Amino acid sequence: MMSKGLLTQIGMVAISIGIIFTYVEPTFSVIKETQDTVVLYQEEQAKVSAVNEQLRTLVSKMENVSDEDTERLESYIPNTVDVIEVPRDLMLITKQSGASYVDAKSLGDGRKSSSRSRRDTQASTANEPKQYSFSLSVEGTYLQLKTLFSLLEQNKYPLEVQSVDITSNEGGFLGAELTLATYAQQ
Amino acid sequence: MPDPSNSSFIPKRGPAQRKKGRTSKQLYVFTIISYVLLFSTLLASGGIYFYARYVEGQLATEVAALDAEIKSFSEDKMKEVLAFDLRLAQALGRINNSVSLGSIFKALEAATIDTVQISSLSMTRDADVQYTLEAEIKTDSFDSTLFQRQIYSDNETLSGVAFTDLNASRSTTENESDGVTDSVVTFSATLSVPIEQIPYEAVSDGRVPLTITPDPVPVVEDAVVDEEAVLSDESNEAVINENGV
Repeated sequence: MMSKGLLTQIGMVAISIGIIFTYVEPTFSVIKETQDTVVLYQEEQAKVSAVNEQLRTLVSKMENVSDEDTERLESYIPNTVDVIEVPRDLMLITKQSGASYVDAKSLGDGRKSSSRSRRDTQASTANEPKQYSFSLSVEGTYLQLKTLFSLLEQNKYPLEVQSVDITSNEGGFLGAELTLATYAQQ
Repeated sequence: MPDPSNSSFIPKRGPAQRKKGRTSKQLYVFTIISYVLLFSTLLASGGIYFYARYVEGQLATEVAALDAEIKSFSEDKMKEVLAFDLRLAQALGRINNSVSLGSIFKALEAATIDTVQISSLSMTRDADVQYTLEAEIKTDSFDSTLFQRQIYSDNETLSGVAFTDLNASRSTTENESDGVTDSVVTFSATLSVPIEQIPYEAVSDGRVPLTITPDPVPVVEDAVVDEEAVLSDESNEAVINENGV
């Protein structure tokens, strides 16, 4: 016959084992999961913090760009191209070169298609600026045409010569038909 | 004779000499284990309870910190930066592909021999790869044609030289009265100029729009060399190879 003391001891061990299996072990598991979650949150917070820090750095750099440079950048690649201003500028540049202005008009717009973008994905094409084409007809001497090209290259926004046809006109002058391209961000 | 005192049926007891009972303090291993186990379990349970609360608190802190970090992210600023970066990248792309057509003319001037006249010239930009030049050229002999082709082929700026539509004829000139006729060889030349061969080089800081006063228009007499290497009409007024270019 078991003594009372032994029964008590067995009961204590049983209670201990019961506590271990019903509380301690599950709580340990919960703690482990919680700690894993804490680590995950810490990692994510570090990532977000890094992004925020980088953003702050970039914003700081951007704000340190002088207004003059920002203005020049926005002139070089504007949000959109005014199809009236460009022919006017072409006329003024032509006059400045000494050549005779004949005609200038807009030929429409389209996404810039470079050799690189043809090979790359559509996403990279989306990053290319939008191209606006213009035609320009002028007459002048060879030197005047060279001056015209030089002035076009020094314009505050790009005026890329996409094509040019130069022919001899009567009276010793040359006629030039230019197709020019300029760019806008949108 | 027996002692009468021993006749009693009551057993006699000697002088009491109680054995000292040894107090039993036996500790059993199982008892120790059970007590240790129980108290350890209770202690551990308490510790775990408080540690779980601590870890939960830590998680709540981290969640709050992450939320705060996320809220501090400015989407508008990010869009602004991305737009600025895109504009910069686009500007850089166009600047890197900027070319100087003057360099093409310079190369043509240097590579065109005296006896050659360029009647018409067209240039077409092929994306950001190259300019393709097509020229109608007139010269006086096959030798000049061959020489011109050699000069173009040897030029570092020009490449992909191809002469086509060769046509030789005899034309009369003002010397006809003297019975002299000149032979004329015409042909089409196709040349390629890679973009990287003619990069644009800034000539000013660009802060002020550059105004160029055109040079005086050269007349034939003023052109020292290569008067015939021209984009010419019959009077040869437009000279390609003026001196000093």
